[in-house]
Amino acid sequence: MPTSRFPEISDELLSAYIDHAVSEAERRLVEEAVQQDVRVAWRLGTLTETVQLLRSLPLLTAPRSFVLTPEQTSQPVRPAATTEDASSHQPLPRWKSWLEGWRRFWQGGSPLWRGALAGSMALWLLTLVVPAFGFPARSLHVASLPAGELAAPSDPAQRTLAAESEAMLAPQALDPAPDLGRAAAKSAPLVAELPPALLLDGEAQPFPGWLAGVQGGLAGAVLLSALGWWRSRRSA
Amino acid sequence: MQGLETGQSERARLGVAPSFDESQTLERAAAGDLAAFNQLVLLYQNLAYSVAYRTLLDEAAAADVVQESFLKVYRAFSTFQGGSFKSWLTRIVANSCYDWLRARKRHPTANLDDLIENDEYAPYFEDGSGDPQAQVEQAELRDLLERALAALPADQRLAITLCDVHGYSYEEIAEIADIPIGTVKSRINRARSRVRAFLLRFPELLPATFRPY
Repeated sequence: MPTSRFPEISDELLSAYIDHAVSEAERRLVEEAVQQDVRVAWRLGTLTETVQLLRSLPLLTAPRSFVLTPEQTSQPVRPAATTEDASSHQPLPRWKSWLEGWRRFWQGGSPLWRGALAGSMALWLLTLVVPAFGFPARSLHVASLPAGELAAPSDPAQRTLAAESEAMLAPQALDPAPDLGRAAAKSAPLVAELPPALLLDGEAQPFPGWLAGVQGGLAGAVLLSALGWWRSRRSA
Repeated sequence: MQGLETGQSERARLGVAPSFDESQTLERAAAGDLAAFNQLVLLYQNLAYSVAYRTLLDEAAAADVVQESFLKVYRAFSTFQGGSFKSWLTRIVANSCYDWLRARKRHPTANLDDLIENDEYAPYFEDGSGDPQAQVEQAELRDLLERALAALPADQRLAITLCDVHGYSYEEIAEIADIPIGTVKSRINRARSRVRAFLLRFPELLPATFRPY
């Protein structure tokens, strides 16, 4: 195949020439090349004809009307704004605007997200309510004891047990030779300050039931939200 | 033809004058007048659908994208800075098309409609006059061109559709597609060369210009 005498004449230049988007020098170059090289003339001719054919393609007809309805815009038809309207416009009370914002947020999101959020809230409430009815507090009697009873157990066996536990808990450096009565008296106000639910027959319970319920609910909420997000991504 | 009649009757129903003032309509639409906005919808819906269909090559998706685009335009009308409403609308349609294409790329699905040959759908204004033989040849050539466009990558298809089919300038296409003018020129050139190469495979349907020198 013989090489063109006008290697600088690219299709991009010819395309721009067709659209009258070339400089004067480029236009002269193209016209000279067309005169002298039949291959350039053919390239320009076929490209021009291609563009003509494309330009003859008709505008498509929409299969239906896309006129918007007030329902589609999800708000009432906004009347044309006039100065009278603008002056008579009263701002909504703050609580109403918050409510409206929440309503729009709730209605605007994905149904999957809404479902996940509602499910997680229901689960959270359930985990809060069920422990209150199903698992009565076990240690109320301990906390309701007078501080003096806790401070000085009457039974010698209990006193020994309290002393042992106190000795295990208290740092030895602070009190190398603990006086049982004094140690018990020291710890009594601290024990009495603890909420009832934290006491189980004199032992510290790591988490109260309601706190565990809250944690479970939050974990469920996170899990369900993640599930909702994942499903909405899949369905998108 | 049915689409044209529907459009005309709907215009009449909505009280749209045959030659209405676009700038006044734009002002009313910007003020929140839904009826005025719908006059713009009627004016530009064929253009919007044409761009969307030729970019997406899917009737239902193009209709959804156009409806969504008009809603976006209505809701974002306060952000319209002036200038060409047609370009602004086309930009929103093009962006919505790209969103749709990206979503389809992430989650490819087989469209059952694609498996059915739909011979009845002809989204053109049919011309009842003229030589039947010439009409058949024109229809074949048009079909060939649509196939050539369909074979292009989406970005080139949008550029050539806007430039050659709908007559947008390079500057407008650059604004619509949010790309530099150099990229617009390059995409249009590559698209035209590809369409020409596609057409040359069917010389019997082409004008004499395409015959080898």
